Amino acid sequence: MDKQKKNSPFRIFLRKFLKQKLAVFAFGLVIAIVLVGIFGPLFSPYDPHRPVTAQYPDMGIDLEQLTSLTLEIEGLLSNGETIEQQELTQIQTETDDRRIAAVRRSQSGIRVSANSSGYTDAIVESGDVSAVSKVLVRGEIPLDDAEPTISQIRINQPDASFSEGDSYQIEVSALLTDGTEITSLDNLKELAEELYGEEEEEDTSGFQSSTTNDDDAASFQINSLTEDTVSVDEDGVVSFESDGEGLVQIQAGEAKSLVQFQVGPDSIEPVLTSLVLQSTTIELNDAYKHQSPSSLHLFGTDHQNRDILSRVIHGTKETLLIGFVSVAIGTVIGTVLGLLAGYYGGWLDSLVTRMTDVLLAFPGILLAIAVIAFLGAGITNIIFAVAVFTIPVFIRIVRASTLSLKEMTYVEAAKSIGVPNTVIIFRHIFPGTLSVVMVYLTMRIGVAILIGAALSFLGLGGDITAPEWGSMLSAAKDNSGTIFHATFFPGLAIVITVLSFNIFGDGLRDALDPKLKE
Amino acid sequence: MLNFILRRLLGMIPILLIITIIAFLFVHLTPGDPIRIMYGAEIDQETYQQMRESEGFNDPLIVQYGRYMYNMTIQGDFGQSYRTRSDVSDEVLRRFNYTFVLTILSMFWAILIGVTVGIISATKRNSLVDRVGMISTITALSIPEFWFGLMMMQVFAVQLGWFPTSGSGTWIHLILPSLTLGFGVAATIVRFTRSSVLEVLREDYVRTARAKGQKESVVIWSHVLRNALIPVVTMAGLQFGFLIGGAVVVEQVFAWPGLGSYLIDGILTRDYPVIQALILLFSLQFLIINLLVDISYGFLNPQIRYE
Repeated sequence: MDKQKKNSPFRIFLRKFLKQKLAVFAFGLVIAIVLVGIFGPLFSPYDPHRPVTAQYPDMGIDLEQLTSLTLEIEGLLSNGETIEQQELTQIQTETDDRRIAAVRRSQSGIRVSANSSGYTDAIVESGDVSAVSKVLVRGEIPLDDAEPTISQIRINQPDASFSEGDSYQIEVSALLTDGTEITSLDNLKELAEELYGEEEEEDTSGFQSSTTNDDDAASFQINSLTEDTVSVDEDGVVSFESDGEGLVQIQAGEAKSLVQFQVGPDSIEPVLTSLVLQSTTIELNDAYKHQSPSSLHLFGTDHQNRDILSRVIHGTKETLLIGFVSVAIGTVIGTVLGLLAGYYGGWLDSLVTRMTDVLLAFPGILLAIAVIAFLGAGITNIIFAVAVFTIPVFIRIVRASTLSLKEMTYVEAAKSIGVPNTVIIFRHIFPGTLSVVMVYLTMRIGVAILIGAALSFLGLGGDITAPEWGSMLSAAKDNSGTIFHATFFPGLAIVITVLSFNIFGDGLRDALDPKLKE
Repeated sequence: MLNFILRRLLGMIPILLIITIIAFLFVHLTPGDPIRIMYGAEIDQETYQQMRESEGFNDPLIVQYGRYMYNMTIQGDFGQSYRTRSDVSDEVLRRFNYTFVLTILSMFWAILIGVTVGIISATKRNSLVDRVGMISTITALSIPEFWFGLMMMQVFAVQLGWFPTSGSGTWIHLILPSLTLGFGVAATIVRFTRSSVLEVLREDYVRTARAKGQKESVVIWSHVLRNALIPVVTMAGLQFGFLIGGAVVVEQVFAWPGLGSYLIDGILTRDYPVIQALILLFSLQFLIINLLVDISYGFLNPQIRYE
């Protein structure tokens, strides 16, 4: 008795199957994927339909923290003293391109907030002086071609006082946004001509976004703000004409600085001569679109800033549904037709076989596309379409196995004692075909998922915003062609799922193969 | 042989007839009135009736089918696209070249990669190369073509900048789409070549060749491959049909202006004459491919006799 139990076909099958480590592993994966499909939505970190930025407040994540940075500034006076930012008055801030970043004054300095990826200049201005910081917002747009611009101009402040008729050569150095220093007036002039000269970049997008006044960004200017007392030529030589306070301003691009001269004996009030920014380059992240994978979003976010991990989790259900339901429909219809054709033979058999041959002559995906062309786009129709090309496969294998089972002695015996045909088919023949049907079932699920994903990738799934792996890839292709993570993860999910089903199916086949030794 | 080809050609006729009927009924069975699709919903009732009359939609179905067949077979006229009002046959001819070039080059890659890897796998059976090759093929068969295409695009077009991301024009545009399309078929060919070569290696004449001291390379090249590659050729031919199916998807990925993208655009905009023409064309292609494959059996393997 015991021995018999030990060698029951099921036991043998189980032993053979468990021997195939890879197939067992794949089976485990299949179970895990199905569990994700059922329970996944309960655990998905974000709502797959809404931008994550809209969900941050509910989750207690401070969006400001992610996208903004505070920059300290201080002012340099002509007497060498520095003043804190609180004491600076009339601070004006702007960015070259507000679509990329915005800047405003805050309690502790200047707050720069990213809006979308790209680079722009943040300009901080106080009266006649200004300084520039480059804002780099990481994201979709590559930042490689962001050129350094002139950040600060430092003019040597002479301590001595001058008298009428003297002349003085201004000494200038400048700091670029990438940290390099320019140490002579000529070099600065050259660079400014190169960076800001001639072509002021046209805003071709049609949104004249900011209040940037392009005339402001003169390539290079050196002029006297107090024409009565001092005059200056373009090589930086200052001539003093009458007593009083003399101010010379140097502007290169958006950066401006002053130098103050005391002409004559009367002492003068110190003025603000330049602004110093804490850093010349600000790096931020674009949190509104295409966030890169991070601890917050393991798979990153897509073009509408939806969490890709959540969408992949939610998509599992849809993808498995397409695979399971279509193969189930195909299996049931195919098996019934195969049983009938194989058992009864005759005209029914030739009709069914002919139909199968024609259907099998077409590649699955085209057959499915043709069905969709008939029924129109939509998930239900995708299921139907995939079912249609699954049917002939099952007809063929079930018919073949019915043909051989029909000749079995026990079937003959059943026939001879007058068991009705329907009972013979379902009680005596059908169980015999089950094992081969099961193998094909698992193998076809992989194929069905592939074709289903391809159909929704082609836009035939109807709702293109649905979190379905194929349509996610389709949307990623159209909207995030250059973003790796947006196209990678949904596809990886398909590959892992299909591969698991295929390896599992292979293992089943080998385990059921009587030729394979234990 | 000639007899066989004739018989096969005659056998194609009923299938073709059925397909034309299905394609014809397409316009009539699918939801949506063709006149409304063509001219929009705004036209008034009178013009609508006039249009129906002049386009012949009021005639009995059988008359319409007759006219459809006449236009198609005698005049080569597949009707006009609802959307662009251009002749479908012109457009199909123009796009056919694109798809043809794409599939041919894909087949070239598939055979080149498939046969090479297959032979190496078989001759170095159970070696590391063989194992890696086999695991790669089962993985390759589980990778959707469109995703593979997108990844190729990411790596070779976006990151490395070697190829353009999409579009057509030069032969460089063709490289990524054809490799993408070819790789799935290559995996099938690898498996098939491997098992075919392994089978031949077991044959007596191979053992004899080895026993008489023939060099291993000669054994492989002139004894094994010659026989093992016959079924591979036929199998590769059969895969052509699947390449055409895959082309529909790959063309969409790389914006390749072939028949596949024409079909998908047609379906998405309900441009029935386009869908009709393409379904017919694709069906005809498969029938011809299957026929050619059957005939090639006879040429490649003289043992097969057609009764």
